[in-house]
Amino acid sequence: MTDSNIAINASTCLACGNCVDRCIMDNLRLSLPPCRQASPLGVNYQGVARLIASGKERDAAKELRRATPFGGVLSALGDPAAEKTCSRGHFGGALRFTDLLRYLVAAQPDVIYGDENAKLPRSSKKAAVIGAGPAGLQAAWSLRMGGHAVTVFEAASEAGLSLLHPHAENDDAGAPAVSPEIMEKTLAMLARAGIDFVTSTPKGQSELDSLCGEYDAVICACGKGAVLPADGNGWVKNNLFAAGTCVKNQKHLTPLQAMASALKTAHAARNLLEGFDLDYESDERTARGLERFAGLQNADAVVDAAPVTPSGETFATEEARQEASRCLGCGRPYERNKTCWYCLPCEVVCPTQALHVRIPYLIR
Amino acid sequence: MSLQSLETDFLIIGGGSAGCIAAMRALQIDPKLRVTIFEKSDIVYGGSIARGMDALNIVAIPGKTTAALYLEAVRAGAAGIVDAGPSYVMAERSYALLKEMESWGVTFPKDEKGQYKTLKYHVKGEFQTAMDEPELKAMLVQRALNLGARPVNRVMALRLLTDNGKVAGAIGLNVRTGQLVVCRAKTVLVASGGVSRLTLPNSGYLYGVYDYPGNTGDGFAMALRAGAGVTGMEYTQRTMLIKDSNMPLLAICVTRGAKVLDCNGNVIMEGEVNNINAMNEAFTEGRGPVHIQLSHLPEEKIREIEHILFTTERPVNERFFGGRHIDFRKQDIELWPTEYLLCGGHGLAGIRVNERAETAVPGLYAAGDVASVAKQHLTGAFVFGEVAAEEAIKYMDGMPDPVINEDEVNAVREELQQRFTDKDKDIDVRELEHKVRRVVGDYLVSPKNSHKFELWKYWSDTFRDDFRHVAVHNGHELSKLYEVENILLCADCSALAGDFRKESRWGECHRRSDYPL
Repeated sequence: MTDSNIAINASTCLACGNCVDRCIMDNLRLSLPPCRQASPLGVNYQGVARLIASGKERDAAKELRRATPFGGVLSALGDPAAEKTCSRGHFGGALRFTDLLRYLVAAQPDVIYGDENAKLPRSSKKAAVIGAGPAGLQAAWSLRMGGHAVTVFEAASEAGLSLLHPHAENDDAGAPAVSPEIMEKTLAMLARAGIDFVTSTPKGQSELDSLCGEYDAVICACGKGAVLPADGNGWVKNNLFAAGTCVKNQKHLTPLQAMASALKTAHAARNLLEGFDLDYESDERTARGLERFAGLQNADAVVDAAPVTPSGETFATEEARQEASRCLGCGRPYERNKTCWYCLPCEVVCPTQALHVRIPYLIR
Repeated sequence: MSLQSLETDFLIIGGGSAGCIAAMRALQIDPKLRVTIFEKSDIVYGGSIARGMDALNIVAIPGKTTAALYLEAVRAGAAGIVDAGPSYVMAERSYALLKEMESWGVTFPKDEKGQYKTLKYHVKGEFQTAMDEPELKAMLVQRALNLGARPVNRVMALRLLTDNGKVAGAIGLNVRTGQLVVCRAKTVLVASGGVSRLTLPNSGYLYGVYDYPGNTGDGFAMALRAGAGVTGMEYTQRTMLIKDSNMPLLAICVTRGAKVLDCNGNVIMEGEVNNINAMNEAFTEGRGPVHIQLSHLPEEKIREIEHILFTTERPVNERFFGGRHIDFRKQDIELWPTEYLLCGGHGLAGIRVNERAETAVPGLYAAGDVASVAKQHLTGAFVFGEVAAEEAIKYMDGMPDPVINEDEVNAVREELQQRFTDKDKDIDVRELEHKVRRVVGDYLVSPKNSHKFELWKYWSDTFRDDFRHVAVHNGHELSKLYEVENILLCADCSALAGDFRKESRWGECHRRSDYPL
């Protein structure tokens, strides 16, 4: 688009969407990279990969952390949905996102498991989460980020057991397990963020009513043991919500899908706590100006390149950077509404200076 | 189309300077209060200050100036026609405001003697106090959010809701989805800015205006429909700024020693920004364009000016002058008249408020550019944001939840449904806006006369008919249609007030050729 007031350097754009978020004239939209579009937790692999490729592992870890605090868990589980959609799939093979995540988690543990930088908003509301599996942990985190007090009740003697021992609950022998080390660090981070864990405290369906009376919102994420009829927002009744595999007709979720379900449910529960209708901005993409992948530009010019196989347990630094540099950079912002005021906040928030605002021709 | 609803205690419409500080103040007084901010853009940089600001234009520093002196100064600049109460309160609280801002970490540079650096901006007294904070807005927002204010981004308020004559909330439009958001609130503060897109700028680019183009008089229109009074709408003002880009620099340069010259090289302004009218006269008498000359200034002054223009004020200035190969050390800067605007921050137009920021509707407050506190600038937005928060909390003490009038909501909803389609419609909303603003520029600005106001009536009715034929493809275009409707309503007010005011006053702001001075 030559008449656009926004010039994007396609080789450095992270598709992070900061510019779209900050544009005060609602001028921009982001054409999502397919990996981020498909990732259940919305991880922006384009941004992560490009930052690794340019040797900025710390920033890459921050970009991952921005999408999810469960980078460690994700690196163990893998993100097959994202890998499947990678445009590189047609040009030598998809990027090895999981191996890149494992490299990043090993290289930057203090970012991946670090304290949350964002100051939480003040709130006097309290919420309970039942179950400390993937859905429960995700729900607890999302609620806590709204500033609300969160207590997680777990029947077992420790949190996260279903992620540590997936075979016990799943018949699927191939389900990946999360290592005790990752789980320990993840739980420690959640606890430091102010989430209370109460273990060895089973909460049966009979106790839901009293919990709902005691807390402003309750999210049940207790796994397959229960069956709760919930609507598309995870809402069951009054201030009770459900997430993950305890939702009726939702028995066969992978842990990542269960976390995605919890994201949606926690969003609705936060809406309740904050006085909004449950489905307010439930369609995150429209609300944030994210649009479906518009297709790869200059596909003809792309040269096939096979993925880099790690020589050891995880990528060595050079291997990781080489693999990450295979990212084609599918996603990018574009000027949709032609309302630019050339005020430049979009440039200010662009982490790689990939965006350049031109003064509209009529004014130049 | 489904409605979204939410509840709050204190709804703030507009997350700019006034809105954010009001949220902060309210939550400082009552941490448990539910404070919700409707922001049409994104709150971090939304509003007229967008990023930073180079000065607080009005601070009465004890021992140097007083609130009483400020009143004299602002009166002198407005032909004596000033509502004294609000202006006095603003000046009186201005120094406490400066101290509060310092406590946030805002820099107010001091001279060698440890005194705040002040500059002469008004006819009397040095009230303009230098400030160096390129990220003022982000700082303000962060404080409001940390205290628990809840922003509702990308929502443009359309109508205020009332319950037995008292304010009961507002209806907003999500500018991305086209969805309606109904918010029930015990009190509402309107802080949604003036009208920057009233006429077309010289460049012809719809958004190439001087003030933040998101300000389209939404607050004027809402308040008026709810029964609050607006005043000073005949004060259609323009200023002289950088040709084509309309970016501000006049005060920054002139207060630092630059001269304004006419085409013959005669000095028409020097030392203080005291005579915008002389520049207007130079243009009308054919002695334009006027220029700002900096070449006589020492290098350090030029650097200081460049620093402010290229960082805090509008960073794109550097790109603009670079593109035109203009070096302040060698070339003058050409100034041309900007488009016209209605604005309580620089002029006198706005919702009528008293010194408690109250409007005529109980529970409805106004602050910032949307409120008529004569030429209040940023100081007024901040002080009256705080005043409004304090008064709103007193007002809602012990108050029951208001009741939403479903009929009011349904009327808005039906109108929206009729508008949100492109079936059998053939007018582009951008063209409608262009034409409305062109015609406003033809008939409603100086020189004004009764004949022009008569002609305007025809166009006003015609445009209202045209609304039914605007093709709306998405939420963004729908919001643009509502914006044009607000611009049109404000123009109607300006026409009525202008026709009624059968005299010329305030120089170019209201000059009638049929009633000359």
